Amino acid sequence: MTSDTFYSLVEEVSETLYYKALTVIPKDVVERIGKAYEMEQSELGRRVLDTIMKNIEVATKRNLLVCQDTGTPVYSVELGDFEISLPKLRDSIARGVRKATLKYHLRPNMVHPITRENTGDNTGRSSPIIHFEINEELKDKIRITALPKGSGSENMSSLKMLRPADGILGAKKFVLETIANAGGKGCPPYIVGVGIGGDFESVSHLAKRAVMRPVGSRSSDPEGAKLEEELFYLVNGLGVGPMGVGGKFTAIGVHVEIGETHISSLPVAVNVQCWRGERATAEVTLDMKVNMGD
Amino acid sequence: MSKLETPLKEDVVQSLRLGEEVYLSGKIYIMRDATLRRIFEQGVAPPVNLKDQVVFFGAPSFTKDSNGYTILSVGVTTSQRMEKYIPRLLNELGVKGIVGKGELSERMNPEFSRAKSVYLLFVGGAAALATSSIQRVNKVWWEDLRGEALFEVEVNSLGPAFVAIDAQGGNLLMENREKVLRNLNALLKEE
Repeated sequence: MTSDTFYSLVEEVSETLYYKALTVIPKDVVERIGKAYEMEQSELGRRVLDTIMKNIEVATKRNLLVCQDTGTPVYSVELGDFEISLPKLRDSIARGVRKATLKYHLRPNMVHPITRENTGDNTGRSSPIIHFEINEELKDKIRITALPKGSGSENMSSLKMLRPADGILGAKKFVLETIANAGGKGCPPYIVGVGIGGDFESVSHLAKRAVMRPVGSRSSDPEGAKLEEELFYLVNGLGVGPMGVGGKFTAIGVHVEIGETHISSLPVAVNVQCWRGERATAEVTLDMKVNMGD
Repeated sequence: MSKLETPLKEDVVQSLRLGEEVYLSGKIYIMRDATLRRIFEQGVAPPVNLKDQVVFFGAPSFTKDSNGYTILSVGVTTSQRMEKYIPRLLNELGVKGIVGKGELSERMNPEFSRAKSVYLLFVGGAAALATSSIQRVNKVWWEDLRGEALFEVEVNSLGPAFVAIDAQGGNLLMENREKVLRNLNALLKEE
């Protein structure tokens, strides 16, 4: 059995990850933005990408948030085969979100959808959103990823229950239409997360898992991997460009996650992620060691 | 590249061209959804004269102590949500420049040309740049709206921003959007 000290440690890690995701851009994302800048041919597109890189630099130097949108706190918690208290884990992560919000004066975003009343600390009945995932490779530790998801890109996301007859062509068409509609509104160059399969609910989860992957990683499903390459080419053929000014780079990455679906179904979800690609991961061992990654 | 001083002068606004890179210095007014709902839906007159001023669509996080307000982070939000109120911002309140991100529809082109105003595109997510250009916070009204209160701040060289709708009614992002839709149709045909 895990002790209370373990859950306090999880609380600390949850707080740290929330702030880290808002201030440190993942290495793979920074690299891709730099590459895009080198390869972009649109003059305005290059100016936008240059501004993005300068912004990352200033945020680091002056200890500022990269973007003011402190997001919807989404957490993924991967667990192996050991006894652990999910309610305690959930509460520790929520306390971490509250602490980070108050300590760093993060903008509170979470409101009642109808009254628009703000909870004041980014927590609430269904915030943070926590996905408990089973990962049997984790023998003696849990892996926590924070994704404080920005709303500009989230608002451009979309889901469609296609028919099996629409096939992969229908899925590609839907992805392209979603990104064309998003245009410059969700802060491109995007990381596009595509979920295919599952049901109405799990297909969105697949799409969100897809945006959580390091940019440029490949789907473990061969069909998914093939689709990622095709979609990367197609999406960047749209010409939306950085912030919608036109150019080669509408996306720096397209990730696909696949799940089995019903014989009558073909759900497709597109989760749009902005250039910031905010995410931060840590591992906590059951004997209280923390690995914050880089 | 143009350095602009606020409040904006009409001849300066008239001379700006689509895609031009600008930097703003002087007073700007930060507001967004809830602030605009209060003005235009609830009919509460803005507590300050916005004629010839620049409006920045955003919601800062801030602290307040005996020395006044400090903005910890501010960046630009998606302008499309504000479209309903833009004609009145320009033509009733006399706003000369709007800073935001993302496309504003062609319906806005004549509104900007009639008011001789410009829409300036600031890079989304570039909050560190926006925040570090703020020299001080002069005033905050309607604090009950939290981040969506109305802020008057002094900025020094806020930018780069890019002219996305000019006073002649040209619309940079919508022109690109037309290309995108053509590309979309071509790609779908190829597949």
